[in-house]
Amino acid sequence: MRLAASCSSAVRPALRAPAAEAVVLAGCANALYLRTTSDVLALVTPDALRLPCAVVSPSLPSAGPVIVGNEAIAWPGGIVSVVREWPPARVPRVQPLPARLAVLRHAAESVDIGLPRRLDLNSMLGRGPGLTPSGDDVLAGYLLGCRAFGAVPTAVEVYAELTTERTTALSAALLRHAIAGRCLPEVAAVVAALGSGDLVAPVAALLRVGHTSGAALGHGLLRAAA
Amino acid sequence: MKPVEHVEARAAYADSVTLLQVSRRVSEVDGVLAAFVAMGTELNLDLARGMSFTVPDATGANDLLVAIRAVDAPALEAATAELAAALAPAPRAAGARAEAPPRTTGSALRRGAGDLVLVSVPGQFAFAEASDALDCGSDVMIFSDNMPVAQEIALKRRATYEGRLVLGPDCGTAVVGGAGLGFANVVRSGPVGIVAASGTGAQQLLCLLDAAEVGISACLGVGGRDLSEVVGGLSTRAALDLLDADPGTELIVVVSKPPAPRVAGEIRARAEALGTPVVFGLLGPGEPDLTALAETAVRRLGRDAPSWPTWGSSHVARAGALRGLYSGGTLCDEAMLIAADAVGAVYSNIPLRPEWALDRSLRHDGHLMIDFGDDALTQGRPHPMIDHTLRLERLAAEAADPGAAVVLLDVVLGHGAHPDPATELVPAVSAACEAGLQVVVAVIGSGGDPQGTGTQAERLGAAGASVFASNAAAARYAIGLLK
Amino acid sequence: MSLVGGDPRIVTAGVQLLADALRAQAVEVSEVDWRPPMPGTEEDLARVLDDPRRVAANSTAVERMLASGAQLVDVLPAGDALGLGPMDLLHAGPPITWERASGPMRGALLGAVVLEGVAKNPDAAEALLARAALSLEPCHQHSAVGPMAGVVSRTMWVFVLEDPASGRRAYCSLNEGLGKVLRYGAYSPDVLDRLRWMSRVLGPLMQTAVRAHGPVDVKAILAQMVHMGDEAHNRNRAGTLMLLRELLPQLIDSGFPPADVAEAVGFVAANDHFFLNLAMPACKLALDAARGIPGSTMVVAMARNGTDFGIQVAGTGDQWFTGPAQVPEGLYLAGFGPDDANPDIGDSAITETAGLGGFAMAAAPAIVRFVGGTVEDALATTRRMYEITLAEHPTYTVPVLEFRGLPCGIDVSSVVRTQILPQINTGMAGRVAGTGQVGAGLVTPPAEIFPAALRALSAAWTGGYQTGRAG
Repeated sequence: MRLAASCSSAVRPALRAPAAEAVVLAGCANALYLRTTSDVLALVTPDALRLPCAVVSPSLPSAGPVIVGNEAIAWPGGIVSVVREWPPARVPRVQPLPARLAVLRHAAESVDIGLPRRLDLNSMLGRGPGLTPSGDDVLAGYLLGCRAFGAVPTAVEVYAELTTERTTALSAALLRHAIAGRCLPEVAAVVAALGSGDLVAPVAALLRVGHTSGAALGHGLLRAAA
Repeated sequence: MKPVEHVEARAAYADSVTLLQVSRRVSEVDGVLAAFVAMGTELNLDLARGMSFTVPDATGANDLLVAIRAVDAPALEAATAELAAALAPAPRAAGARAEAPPRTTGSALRRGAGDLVLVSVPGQFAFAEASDALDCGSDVMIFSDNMPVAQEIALKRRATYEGRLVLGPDCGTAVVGGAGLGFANVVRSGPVGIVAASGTGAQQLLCLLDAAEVGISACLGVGGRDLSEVVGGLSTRAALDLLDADPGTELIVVVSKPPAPRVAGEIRARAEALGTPVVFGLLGPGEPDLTALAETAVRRLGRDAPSWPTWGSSHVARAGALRGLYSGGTLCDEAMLIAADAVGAVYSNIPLRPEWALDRSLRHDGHLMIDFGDDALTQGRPHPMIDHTLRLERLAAEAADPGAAVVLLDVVLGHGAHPDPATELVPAVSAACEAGLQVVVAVIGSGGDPQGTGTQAERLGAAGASVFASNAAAARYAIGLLK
Repeated sequence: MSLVGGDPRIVTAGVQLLADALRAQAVEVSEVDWRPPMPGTEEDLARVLDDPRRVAANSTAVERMLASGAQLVDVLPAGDALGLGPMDLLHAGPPITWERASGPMRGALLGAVVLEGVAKNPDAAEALLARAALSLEPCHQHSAVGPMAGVVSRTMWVFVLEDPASGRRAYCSLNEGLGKVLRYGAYSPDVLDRLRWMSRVLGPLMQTAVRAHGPVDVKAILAQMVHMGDEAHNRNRAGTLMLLRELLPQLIDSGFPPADVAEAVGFVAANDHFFLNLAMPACKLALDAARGIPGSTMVVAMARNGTDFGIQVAGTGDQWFTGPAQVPEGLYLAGFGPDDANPDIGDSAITETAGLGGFAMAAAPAIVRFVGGTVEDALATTRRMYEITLAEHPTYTVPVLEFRGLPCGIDVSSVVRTQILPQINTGMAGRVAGTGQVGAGLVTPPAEIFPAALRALSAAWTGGYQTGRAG
C-alpha cells in the first residue's frame, strides 16, 4: 500500500528528481538519513524533529536499497508518496533583548556541550562526536542568529569548507539550510521569543532537542548576538 | 402493496455531514422510497414531517432520528442493515492506544495532540471548543457557521490579548503548512501569504497563483464578518502581523468583500506600517476582480502574469439571457459585478442591489445568477461543491427554457469538494449544449488537486463547454456571447 | 509552532470528513470524540468559558487543593470538637428536614437521639424529630463529613485532622464497622451499645495513642494505600492496617487495661473500613481549601442525604445544587435485592471529589468483586474521569497507569460538555429504617445539578459579552 508522506519544501526538488538509489548515511529509531544525487534527506516518523530537510513518513525502511525520486521513497516492501510540502521554519528578524539573551545563556550554559567555551568559530566545523557534531550545531546557531539579528557572519571560511570532508554530509546540509535561514521550529521559536512573548517554554523545548544539540544551537545564537 | 416504515429516535450522535452520507447510502438501497437519518433538531424534525414520517414524541436534539420507508419488509430490512453498517464506527489503525479518544478539544490538547485546532461542530457549540484552544495556547480555525457574533468578538479579543489567531467562524478555506483545511486546493510552498474573508475568493486566488507557479506561505481565512464594523478586523490584523513576521512571506494579499469603511481605513493604515508589501482585493464595484488581483500579485513578485488556461471551444449562442449557477458565493458575486457592468440588472438570491432580488421560486425572465451555496439553499443538504443535484436540475431546466442563452457555472475542486464533478456534470452539459445552450465553466482547481484539474476541464470542454481557469474570464466570455 | 512555517499537527472537533481530508494530506490528526453538551446549556457554557477569571481561578483552586496536607492530630468528643449541644445533630449531604428524610437517615437520627438520652426510646425520639425540636444541620456546614447517614451527636467521638500549613481542621466520626450500624440506619440496642463502647473505650484510647504518637500523616497513608489496591472509599484495607501499624505501640503503651486495648485493636483490625473516616476528612480539608474562589468551576463537595444529591462549587460559595439521589447499581448482601436499597446517601463522595474512590478504580481493581464490573471497567473508569477533571494528583498516583496522577478537581463545565458524570463507589443502605447495609455498588449524581451549577456560575459572572440571548 502507498502511504502518504509530507516533506519540507526545501527538499521537494530532490524528491521530484528521477528515481535513483540513495545512500543511507545513518539511522536511528525515528529517522533515516539519506543522500541522493542532489541533496541530503532526513526520512523521519511523525514523532521526530522537523528538520528543514525532513520527509515525514508513517513508516521507515527496515532494509535497503532505498529509492528516492518521482515524488516517492521506496524500499523493499514499502513505498511512501509525498502528497504535501510544508514551508520549513525560518528564523524571523528580531532585535534580541539583553535580559532575554541572559535567560537563554543561563539555560544553554547549564548543559555541557563538550567544547571549549571560547573556541574560534572557524575551528568549530566538524568538532565533536556524532552525526551532527556539537561544533556544527554551534555554527548553525551562529549563522541563524546572524540572519535573525542582522549581523554579518565573521566565520565565512565555513562556507567554502562545506563541500570538503571536514564534516559529515548531513551536518554540511544542515549548515547550508542554516545559511538560508531554515531551521528547526524549536530554534525559530526561541529566536522570536528573544524579541517578545513567552521565552521559558521555547527555551525548555530547545534544550530538549537531541542530547546537547539544542544547547549548542543556543550557544551559537548567543555568539551571533554578542 | 403498502409501503412499510421504520421510524425511531435513538440516543446517539454523529456529525451532520456524516449523517448526510448515511442517509444517501440508505436511500440507495433497492426498494427504499425515502430515508432520513439526522439529529433530532427542530429543523430536521420538520424535514422528516415534510417527508410524511411520524416523528416519535419527545425526540430531542440529542437523539438520532432514523426514518426509512421501503416498498416491502425485505427492502426495509436491507435498509436497516445498510444503516447499521453505515453507522458502524470506522476501524481504527492497529495499535490504537487503550486510552479512549478525547471528548473535548482541551482534553486532546492536554494530551499533546496538536498545535492547531479545527472546529466544525454545530455553530452554537463551537465557542467551547475554540475557547479550549485558546486556554491551551493554540490557534484555532472555526469552520462552523452560525456562531453568535458576540461570541466571535469575545474569542477574537481574547486571542488578540493572548497573541493567538482565530480563523473564522464560517471559515471554509485555509492553507497551513501546505495542508488544506476545509475546502482548499493543493498548492506549493512559496512567498505569498493570503488573508481571506472569503472562501471561494481565496480558492480562486490560490489556483491562479498555482497556475502562475507562485507558491503560498499560508492562506488564513478570517471569516466573512471579520472586517465588519462590530468585529473590527481583529483577526485580519493578527493575520497581517503573523505573515509580516514570517521570513518566508514576501507579499501579502488580502481578499475580502468591501469592508466597513472605518475598518478598511484602519487595516490599510496597519498594512502600510508593515515591512512586507500588502496587496488588497476588496471585491466590489470599481474594484479589481480576483484575476486582476492574482496578476497584480504575480507582477509584484517581479514575474510576468501568464495567460490563464482555457479548455474547449465555443459556438455562437442563441438569443436570450445569461444564467449563472454558482456554488461559490464570492465567485457568484464577482461574475455579477462583471455582468452588471455590461448588461445591467442581474437578478439573484444574493443580489448586488435589493431591487434585483429573486423571490423564492428563483425564477426570472432576465439575466440571473444563483448562489446555490447560500445558507437558505443548503439547509438539510450538502454544499453544492459536494452535491450537484440542485444545479444539475437547474441546468436541465435552463436547457429547456427558450429564454436562456448562456449558462455560467463554477466547478470548485480540491480537498473537501466532490471527488469527480466531471462525471456528474458531463451528461448534463452535453444535453444542454445539444439543446442549443452555451455552457461556460470556471474550473477552480490547482495542478495538484486530487480530482485532476486538467482532466476535469478537458472532459467538460469535450462535452461542449467553454472552460476557464479564471472566473472573471469565464464571466466576460459568457457576456460576450450574449446577443 | 506558528501557523506560518512548519508542519502542523491538528486537533479536529466536528465533521469527520475534514479529519479524513487532513489525513489524506499526511497531516498528523487527533480527532475529538465530540458530542453535544447537556441540552440547553450552550449559552451558559459560552459565558462561563468566557469569564476571564476562570483559568486563573481554577489554577488557584487546584493549587490549594493539592497543597493541603492532612494530619490526624487528636480524637475528641463531638461536643468538644464541634461545639454540639445535646439537641444538635449533624447529618450527611445537603440540608434536609425530617419530613423529607429517607429510612436510613431517619433510623440514624432516631438512634442518635436515644443515644444522647434526649428521648427514652425511638418512638419518643420520632415525636421530637417530627416537630423539629432538634437542630439538624449538614456536617459540611461544620467542617465535618460523615459516611452514609453521617449522623454526629454530642457524645460521639471524632477524628480531628489538620492541615499543618494553614491550621485548618476537618472532623469525622469513628467508623462503626459493617452490617447493622447506625450510619446505615440501624438503631437497635446492640447498635447503640457499640456506640457507647466506642465513646467510652475506643475514643479515649485513640486519643491517648494519637497524642502520644504525635500527628499521623494521613495524606502519606492515602498515597501509599492507593499503591496497595485501596481506592479509599469502598476499599480501605491497606489504609486501616497502616494506621494500626502506626499507632500500635502507643495503643499498647496507653496505660488502658490490656483487655480494652485488645478489644479496640481487634475491632479496628476486623473493620476494613476503619480508615474511611480518616480518608474522608483528609479529602474535606483539601477541598475546603479551594472554597470561595470567584470564577472557579471546580466542584468542592459532592454529598447525599439519602433523598437529595448535592454539589457545591468553588465559584458559588456555599450554595447547594441538588437533585434526586439515585439508587446505586451493584451487588447485594445475601437476602437483599434492588427493592431493598435506599437512594444514594453519605458525605463519602468527598473522596471522589478529591480524586479517590470511583475516580481511583484503576488503582483498586480488586474493588470490582465488591461493586460489580470487570477490571477493564475499573481502568476505563479512571481514564474517563480525566475528561472531566482539572488536574492530575501529584501525590496520589496509579502504578498500572505508569504512575499517572489520579484525576482530581471536577470541572462543572467539562461535565456539562461531555455528559460524563462523576463515578462514585458506594455502600447501599436498606430503604427501611433499622435495616443496615444491603450491598455496595456504583452510582452517579443526577445529571441536572451540573447545568444548574453552570447557570449559577454564569449568573455570577456579570462582565463579558452580554449577547448570546439578545443577539
